[in-house]
Amino acid sequence: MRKDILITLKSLKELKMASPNPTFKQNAKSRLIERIKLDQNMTVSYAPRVSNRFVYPFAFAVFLLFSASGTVFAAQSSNPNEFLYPVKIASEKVALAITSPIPSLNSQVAELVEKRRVEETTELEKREKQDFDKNSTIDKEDKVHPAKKQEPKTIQEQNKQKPTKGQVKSKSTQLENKTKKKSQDSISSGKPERKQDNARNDKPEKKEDHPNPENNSSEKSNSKSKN
Amino acid sequence: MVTEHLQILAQRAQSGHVDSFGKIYDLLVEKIYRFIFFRIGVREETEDLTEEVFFKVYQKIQSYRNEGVPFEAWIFKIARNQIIDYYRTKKDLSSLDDHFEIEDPGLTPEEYTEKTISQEEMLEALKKIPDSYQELIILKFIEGKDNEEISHILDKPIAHIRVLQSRSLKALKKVVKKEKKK
Repeated sequence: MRKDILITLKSLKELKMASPNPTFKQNAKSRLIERIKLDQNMTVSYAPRVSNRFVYPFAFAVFLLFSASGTVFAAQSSNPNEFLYPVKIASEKVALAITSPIPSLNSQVAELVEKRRVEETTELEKREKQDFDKNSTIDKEDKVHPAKKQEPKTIQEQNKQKPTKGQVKSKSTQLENKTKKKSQDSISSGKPERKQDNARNDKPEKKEDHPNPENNSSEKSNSKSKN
Repeated sequence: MVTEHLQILAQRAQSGHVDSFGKIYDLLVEKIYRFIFFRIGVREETEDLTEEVFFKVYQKIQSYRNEGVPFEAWIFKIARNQIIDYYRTKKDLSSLDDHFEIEDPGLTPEEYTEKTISQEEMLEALKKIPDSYQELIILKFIEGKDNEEISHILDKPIAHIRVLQSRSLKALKKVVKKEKKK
């Protein structure tokens, strides 16, 4: 039975319907070659295709390499008490470990590391000095201008300190009274009216102390005429 | 000898030599056609699938590496996947029964009556055993491939192929007996 089965199975290979039609064979071949030629024209180069399973790990490795080297590079300019300073120290240790078998390079690297430490300490000292100077100047300013600190900073506070309309009116009346008094005094003393006008215009007292040269000349002329 | 020749042709086809691909087609079209036909049983569909298999071979030929896998086994694997895809899209395994039709195998009248009946029975019996058994019987007993090549095509270890071989033959024997009793 088993033999019969095997013989008939082998005979199936010669079955006519199980083999392709010669016309089909020829037509399919020509169609296939046409398709291939079309495809070849579409893709000119025969560059080997890189499968996706290598692309992502490679991209990740490149990203890691760049980020790691970037942090190490950025850490080189860091100082103690800074976030990247341990990275800098670690990179120096690695450099020392790598160069340890080569004595000449090792000494050079060690010197460089020592130099860096010295630079770091000088930089720190500089910074401390600068901070100290800043603090001292701020203290001095506070001592010289203590009122500055009391100055209102917000607009509301400023508005609060602004005089009201009534206050302004009372001030103006006070000034008018003062000027009236002064004019009366000047009339009695025989001084010119110009100064009274100056007083009316509420000019600062400093200007009265140091009048313009024109005013001086007029005063001189008045005095001359009097004489 | 043929495998070495195929290997050289494959290398040439990989470098874009279209004629080499044509030669590969000439050498393997009958085998691939037969393999697909015994699994599907429909002539038109078999022709379409055969053509598609060879175009896929061309498309994937750059990814073929000669690392112990013969080129022929690699193509058979593509054909097998094509058949699996075909059934996945059709999801109609029962349609297989309706399409088998025995044609004149070109034998003497005596042989004809004796063999055609047995061939018909065999084709009917083949359809009634599981797919994995069908694949193995076609590759092993019709195409005459060795276990190593079959293990490459079916992606299974050689030991498993041996077990599968005896099981598939037993299953076929059972079905043939049943058919004869009817």
